[in-house]
Amino acid sequence: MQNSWMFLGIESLIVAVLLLGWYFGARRLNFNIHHLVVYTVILAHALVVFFWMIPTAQEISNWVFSNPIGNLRLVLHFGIGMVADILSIALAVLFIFRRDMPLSILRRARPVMITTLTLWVIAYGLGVVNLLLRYL
Amino acid sequence: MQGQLGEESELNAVFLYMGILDAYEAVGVELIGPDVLEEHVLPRMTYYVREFLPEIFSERADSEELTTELRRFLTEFRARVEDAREKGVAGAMTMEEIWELRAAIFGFESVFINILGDSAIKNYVLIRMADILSAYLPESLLDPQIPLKTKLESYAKYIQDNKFVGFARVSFGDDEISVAANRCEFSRIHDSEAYRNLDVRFCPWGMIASAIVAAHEGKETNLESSLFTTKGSVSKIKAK
Repeated sequence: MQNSWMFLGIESLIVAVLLLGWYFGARRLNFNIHHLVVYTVILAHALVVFFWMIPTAQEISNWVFSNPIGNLRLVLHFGIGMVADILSIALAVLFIFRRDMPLSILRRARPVMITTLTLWVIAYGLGVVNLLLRYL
Repeated sequence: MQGQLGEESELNAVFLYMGILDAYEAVGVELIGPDVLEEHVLPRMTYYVREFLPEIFSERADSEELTTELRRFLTEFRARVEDAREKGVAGAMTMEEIWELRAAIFGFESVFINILGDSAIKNYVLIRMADILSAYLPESLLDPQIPLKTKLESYAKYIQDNKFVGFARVSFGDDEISVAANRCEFSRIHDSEAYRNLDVRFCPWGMIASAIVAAHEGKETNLESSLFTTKGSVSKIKAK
């Protein structure tokens, strides 16, 4: 239980930094900030996912999928979170190889970025709700 | 697009673009020849009008007819701009005409890049633009007593206040100045093939900022190709 609150704190910090990076980096076209924030956040979140979320998910998966409708919030949290993670890693890898950020790629990547950010925030929100409902 | 800019903003946009166009034309005539407009720019301008205003171009079946119309537009437009300056009102100028003006600018840019190389823009056009824009920009942006940082920040505020862009910022590094403009009123043309193919390299807002730096420092500036995003651009300027 203590771990859950600790990782909630870490993920809350990650989301806050991500949103600040979006505002000060993307909207203000400061790509140095944007890239620093995005790569840091993806790395930090990947560590949380690999060392806590996945093991936790493995522990509770039988219980969750024994009643997927009843545990819909958890199922959605896992599913949406996984999609957001995959998209974010794909974008990060893409722009490691295309640091020049040509407009032809940016045009197609921008909707994906917005979708990724939205899904990330939704998954985070579902995680908060799940935790609060479980322990409060 | 029409009506999204106020009348004064339209007038200011026209003046700034005329400054850029005048600089291109002056250098183009010097370096390429007196027929640069007719022989080189107009055909390209037709292409850009087709790219930037597809909904309007589709009404004109004949490309030659469009070329004739654009030729007349350029001839008459200068007189209309001078008239607008005297009266202080944009008058009957429409957003379509402002787009056509931009098409002329990009026509020149394409000519310079293809015939002379983009260094001609950096080495000649921007310097000439610094002189010409003195007639179009607010005095505060050209006063040698005012620090460069203040001027450029005022310029960023100027293009924001005139609603040419939703956001503009200037950042000062060790050896370069970064000028970013986002949510540009004209950014929909970034969807055109001309931008995707990098036929267009310099954002006009970056060019004007570079001209301000050149005018202040009294020496050549080096404007790297602008990085275009879907709604804006980032231009890096280095003083030589």
